[in-house]
Amino acid sequence: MDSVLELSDIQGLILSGYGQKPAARYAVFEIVDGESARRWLRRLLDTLQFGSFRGSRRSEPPYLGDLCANVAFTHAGFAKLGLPAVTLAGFAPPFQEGMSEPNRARRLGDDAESAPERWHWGRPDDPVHGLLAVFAGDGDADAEDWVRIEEFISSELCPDHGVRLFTLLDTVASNRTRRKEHFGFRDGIANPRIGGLPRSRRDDIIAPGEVLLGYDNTYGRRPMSPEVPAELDQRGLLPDCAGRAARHDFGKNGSYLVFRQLKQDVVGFWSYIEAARQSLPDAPAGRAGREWLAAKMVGRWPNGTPLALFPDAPGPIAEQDIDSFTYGANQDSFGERCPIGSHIRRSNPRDTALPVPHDPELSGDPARDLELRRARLELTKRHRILRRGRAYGPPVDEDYDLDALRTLSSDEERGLHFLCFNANLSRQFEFVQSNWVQNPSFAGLSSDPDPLLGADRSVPFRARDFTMPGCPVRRTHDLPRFVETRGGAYFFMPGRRALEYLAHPR
Amino acid sequence: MVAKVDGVHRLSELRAALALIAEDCAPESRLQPRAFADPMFRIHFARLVLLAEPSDAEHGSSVVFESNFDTDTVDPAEARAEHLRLLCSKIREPLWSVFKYCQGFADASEAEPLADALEQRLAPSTACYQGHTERDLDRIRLEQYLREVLMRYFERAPRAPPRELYFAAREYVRLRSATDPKLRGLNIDHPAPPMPDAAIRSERLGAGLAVWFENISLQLLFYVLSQLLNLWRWAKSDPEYEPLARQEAWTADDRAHFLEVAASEDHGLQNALTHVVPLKHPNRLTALLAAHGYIDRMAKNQFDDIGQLGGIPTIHFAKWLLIDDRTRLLFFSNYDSSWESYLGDFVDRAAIGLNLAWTWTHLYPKTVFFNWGGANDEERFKAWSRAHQRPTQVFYAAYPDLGIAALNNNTWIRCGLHHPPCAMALKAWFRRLT
Repeated sequence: MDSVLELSDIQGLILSGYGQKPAARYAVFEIVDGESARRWLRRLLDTLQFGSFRGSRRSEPPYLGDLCANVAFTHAGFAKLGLPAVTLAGFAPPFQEGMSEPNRARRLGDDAESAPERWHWGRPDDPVHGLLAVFAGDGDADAEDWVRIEEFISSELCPDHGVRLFTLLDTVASNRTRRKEHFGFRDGIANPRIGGLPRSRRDDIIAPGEVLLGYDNTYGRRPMSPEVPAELDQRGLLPDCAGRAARHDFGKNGSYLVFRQLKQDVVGFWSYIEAARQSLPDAPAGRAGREWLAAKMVGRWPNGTPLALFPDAPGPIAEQDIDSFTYGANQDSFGERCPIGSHIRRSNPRDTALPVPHDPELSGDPARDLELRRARLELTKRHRILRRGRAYGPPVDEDYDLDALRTLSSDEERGLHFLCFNANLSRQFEFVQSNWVQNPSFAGLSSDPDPLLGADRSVPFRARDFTMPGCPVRRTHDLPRFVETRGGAYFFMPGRRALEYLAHPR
Repeated sequence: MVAKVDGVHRLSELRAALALIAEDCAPESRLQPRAFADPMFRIHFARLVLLAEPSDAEHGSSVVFESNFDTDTVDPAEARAEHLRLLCSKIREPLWSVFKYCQGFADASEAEPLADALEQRLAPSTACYQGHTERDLDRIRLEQYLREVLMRYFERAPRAPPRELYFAAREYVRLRSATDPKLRGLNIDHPAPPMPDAAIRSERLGAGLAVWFENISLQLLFYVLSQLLNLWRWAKSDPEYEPLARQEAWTADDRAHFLEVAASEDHGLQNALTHVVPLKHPNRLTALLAAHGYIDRMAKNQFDDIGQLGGIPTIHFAKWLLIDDRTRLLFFSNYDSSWESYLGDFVDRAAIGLNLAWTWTHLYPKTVFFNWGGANDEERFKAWSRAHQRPTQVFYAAYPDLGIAALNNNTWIRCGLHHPPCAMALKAWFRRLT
């Protein structure tokens, strides 16, 4: 495994969520003229934020820019920019086909209200060619930050530059959300760290090639990467392909970016929780009961502390421990604390035995069980994604008061702009979505979808239960759909040299 | 059963006939073409596949029919013949609508000659694995229903000590089984019907490397020893699949083919995989047969009863067979969840076994002594597999939403009700109810 990442060649958003910047906007754009767009890209390059700042302390240069912008393109976007056909054909097939391809939409659970034809953007015929993600501010949000972002976007995306704004996606200031998503739960906790990144925490490390092309992945191999024949890159802008002089690597230091706009029905969620709580024989009463049942579905308490560590009541928040746990080590292999089907356990099962958690106990040998748990953690790591999402739309209640979330209503749309990076769309994002989140048979369950994201989808079959293992087991029924996909696309965020190559006149 | 398509016919007509069968489903049922759903057939899974070949291909197109069914007939050959006769008498029309395009079926429009013609084209498998044994369709459905009855009972039950809860539920089921027709045949006071024995399962799951050696026959050992030089030479010189180069050269037809394969997947929990690949050279046939003989023995002696094939716990059936004068290897399997998950299991859990099965075939990722490498090369292996996959035009599954792990779990729950478990086992029994 390469020990050093080429930080100055990697766009900053891949290496950091820019958590300290409260303001963010995503501009989805169309390329109307390839030649002008390439000229624009040449100028834009100097304003983009690359990853060198991750090589130094916050108090030392190179610093993170005041306004951070990053750019990514869809497959159609790269074609518009004149990328050679052979390179276009070298991207991962899911990226080439796009998120709205019907077979893919079926697998990802994008049906009925969430069907691609009904999206706000990213519909099959929409001219979605690129994404400009812009972040600003420091600490508390300031109206000025939003204005600066808006000015930047409108000055960059204009007909003179060969690009046109297709849709502008706003976010809600991250300090206003207190890092909570709209259902009222602390978000963005479980994220793996890229190996080889300086000054990163030592736990939950994934191989760089799980996120970035051009580095070894968890199998010890370089992910497949789009290449440019050397004769089409005579200025040698792109890095060489290892061992193959005739080819240059367009993908190196780039990453596939999944973008999904997910609308959340907050009042619907908390109303269901109240109705379901009343139907459970021995659920705690009132607000405490609602908090308990919702925490069971999420797998964490609203303050983010995990049920595997704090099964009965929210724990004190200790940032260093909030994500450092396994289920087996907390006597929770079978989901009696954190239900097997809860949202966080599905999206990252850690050491949960798949596809059924019951078998390991048959060995009866603690040493072998420990070995199995370690092996399972390694298997789980082959499907991790690096999340970079932010909430959009105003919170139902500024204080995320659980009663207010259930009773206040508002017509404004709110939800999550889900963004994640990965090097292998099929093995990582799509796998997590279809085999873990969407799968009613996940880990020994039989008719339980992800209670937040997956209820009542037509594929693989309509499932609407939520099971809390125990003696006796408890179960809620008739889960409705709380989350709908309103837009989405697969982008690729290239490295600096690939952008230079793209911007180079043909 | 493999039949060659008569060259004079257009494949589009044959495709249309298959589409008619696939689309004729009972309302609200998926993966359940009506043609195969008659309970008399006792079919677990069935598929009808057109292996369409270009007109200039060495081998013409074929239609393959597969049915996995229950039978009380002891002799397998006789059982197959009976099954075909029953199918032809009941669903002669849809079968004939497809096989009338095949060579040697011109005079087989009536039920009896059709059954004879099909029987003549039965193709034996080189290796076969079954994810669940000892359970027929009725039992699988009974145990699935019983699990749901118990879940409904416990989810409303007041908290109580486990033993008390268990016996109350047992009593509830005993009373209910007297009146509920869906529990017919369940008598929890009698010993449980045969099931994969817990001790055997535990022992096999925990078995070390020794078992892999125990199943090597002397014949295979002699073969490997006599072919060491060849195996080494092949490992060095055989070309392998180049995923990027292939992908860069995809034509519109290739892309359409991949979309057709994808369109036949992910309509339910269970999926069908159909895969065809030529042998590298006729001189690999003996090696392939020896390797598959070993896989077949391992499946029967080690894996059939434990719901896992070499560590892959999501396969209902898997079988390999040679077609076209033993020049191409056909693989059929029914598995749970997505292709990516299935192939991922191949790579992560069973690479060695798969190398043994496929290293003799065209452009398979390089293996060293058919053991190392190969499927471990994740992206190359998946791309190779996808490139040789064919769409499964007609797929019938009797219980499309029931995964193999859940199916086996249901059996354990049921058997636990027949035999009151000890305290430890009782704890484990309750954990199975999820």
